[in-house]
Amino acid sequence: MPAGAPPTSGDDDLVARANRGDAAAFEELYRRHRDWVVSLAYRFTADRDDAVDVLQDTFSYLFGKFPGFELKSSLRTLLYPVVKHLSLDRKRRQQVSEPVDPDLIAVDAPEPGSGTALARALDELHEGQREVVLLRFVDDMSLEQIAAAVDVPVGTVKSRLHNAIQVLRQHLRRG
Amino acid sequence: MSQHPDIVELDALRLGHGRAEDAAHVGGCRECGEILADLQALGDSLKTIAQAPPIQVPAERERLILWGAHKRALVARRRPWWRRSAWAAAALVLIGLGSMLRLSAVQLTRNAEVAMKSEAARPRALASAVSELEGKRGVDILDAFALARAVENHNGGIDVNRDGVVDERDVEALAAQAVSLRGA
Repeated sequence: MPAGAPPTSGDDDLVARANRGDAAAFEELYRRHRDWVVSLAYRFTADRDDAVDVLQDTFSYLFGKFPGFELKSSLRTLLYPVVKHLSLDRKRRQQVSEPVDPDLIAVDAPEPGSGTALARALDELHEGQREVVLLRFVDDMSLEQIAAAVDVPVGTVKSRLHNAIQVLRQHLRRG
Repeated sequence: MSQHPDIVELDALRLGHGRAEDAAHVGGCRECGEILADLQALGDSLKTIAQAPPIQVPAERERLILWGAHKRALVARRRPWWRRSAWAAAALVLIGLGSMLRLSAVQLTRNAEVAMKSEAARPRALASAVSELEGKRGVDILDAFALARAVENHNGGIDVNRDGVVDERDVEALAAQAVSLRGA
């Protein structure tokens, strides 16, 4: 399964089994979401080691919720703010102890070397718009999932997406 | 032609969860078709730009994460305190009920013994007992006890089976009559 694609189904069943103490279900939850979590963490941290640290902390947090964990929406909707918080917290702590590197603190920064007009346009978007665009176009989330993940109303997601698409489409056409 | 769908509604078609009427509209609208194609190209480009490079999780780190998973599974397998307490409470209730039943049985036995003694001690008028036996609709086991005591003490009795002798066979006949499901 590609890292960005949401899982087809079955998280509910895995969560139920994990709540009963099925170790294989825990492992399956991890393997199912590992690549997405680590790539999302990299998106925030722009550092492979930090991304792996965030991966470990994220699953430690998730597993700590068992037994008794209730999955009310999709697991990625739940994990997104956790990964974001852990990543930003890690970067913040590093900034306190190390000199600030502007390249590293650029949250959701595009890959180095991909200096296309579109990449620059993405970087220039308002943070809230950029976050919504990436969740939509990279993680293929629905409007409702994005709303739950970033904790804003669906209408806000829709308007942010609408405005951001208009801007990015112009840059896409310019090429 | 129907009204053009909003660009976000068109984007839902890209992800395969748009409305059927929007899909039908796009099929017949060149302008919306171009927007949808742009959205597809935008998605492909953004995936290339923002997608993280493949990150191999070190084996040691993976083992740590999975060890955490197994540890948590063990915790989940243990019964929660309230369920364990519920079982303990149920066991206590059962023990309590058992004790109560045992006490009740002991009490019943004592009552029976007292009753037997009182029956045996009761100066039973055999003639009236016979008529009572013949007249009443049913006899109970206490009558059998009373007869047994009377036979043991050679204190007369009732010739239940009418064989001319008052003995154990009369007690057995009376007891059988007392516990018979068909009644007297």
